[in-house]
Amino acid sequence: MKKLIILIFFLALSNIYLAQTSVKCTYKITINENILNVNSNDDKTSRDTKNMLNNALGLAKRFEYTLDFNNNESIFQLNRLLTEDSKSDYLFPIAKAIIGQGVYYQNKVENENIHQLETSVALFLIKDTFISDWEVTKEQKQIGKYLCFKAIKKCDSCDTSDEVWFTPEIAVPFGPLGYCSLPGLVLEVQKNLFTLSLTNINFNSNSVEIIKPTKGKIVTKEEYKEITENYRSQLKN
Amino acid sequence: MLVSTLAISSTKSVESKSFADPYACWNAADAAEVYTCGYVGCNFGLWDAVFNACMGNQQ
Repeated sequence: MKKLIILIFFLALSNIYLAQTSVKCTYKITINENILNVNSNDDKTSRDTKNMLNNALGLAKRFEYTLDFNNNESIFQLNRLLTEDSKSDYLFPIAKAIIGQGVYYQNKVENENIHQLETSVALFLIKDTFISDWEVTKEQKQIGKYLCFKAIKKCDSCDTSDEVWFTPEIAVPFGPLGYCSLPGLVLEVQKNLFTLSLTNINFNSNSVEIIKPTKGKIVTKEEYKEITENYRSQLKN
Repeated sequence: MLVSTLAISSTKSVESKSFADPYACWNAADAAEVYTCGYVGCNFGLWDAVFNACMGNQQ
């Protein structure tokens, strides 16, 4: 009985330690080249848009994102310190929007997955939950020293799908850009135009306090979609 | 017809020009979504940023 009490004490102590210790991850972008090639069939709008996006992606190569987490919650955002000189560039908001903008907060205890996003319409707090609708595949690869597995999430209303690589060796259900609820930390996100990859992880970071975003118009994903579609339609009219 | 140009040199930043046709900017913003994430409506933040840049609006 005495041994059991001692064991429970140490387990509780380790949980408190994990809850208080933040882990800091750094993610960087690799652009997938030759995806947005201008071709002779493109009209002027397509040509100008592709050139603009390519230039924005060139700017995004310099971005660095951080994911800070403890045992219960995480926060993911652009590292502002490294983008101060880019802010005056008109492509900066476009580059941010392509990769990931705003603050992504996740809390596994409260079942919260929140994206705080500023737009012309409003500052939004888009609230979602931890939904485990991933298809975990048998594909494996090594990312750094971690064995990773591929997971895919299909879009119900479109032909696209999200593809990430996670490692069960870091057993937290968090990841960048709001990707969560996998049985391990997401180390890599593969998109059409770019790949977002973990480049550094510091397990002894005590310097960051994870602050849940609370400012903004609280909406669900469906409400956000409806509001922004109405906004677009109004602009056209 | 898109009056202002969004294409710039790859090494220097250039301010976007205003006086654009809103319809053309709307189409450019739609195109940006399709090229980046596959369909119109997939990334309103991007649509918003492209439209505002095209129109010369500050963000």
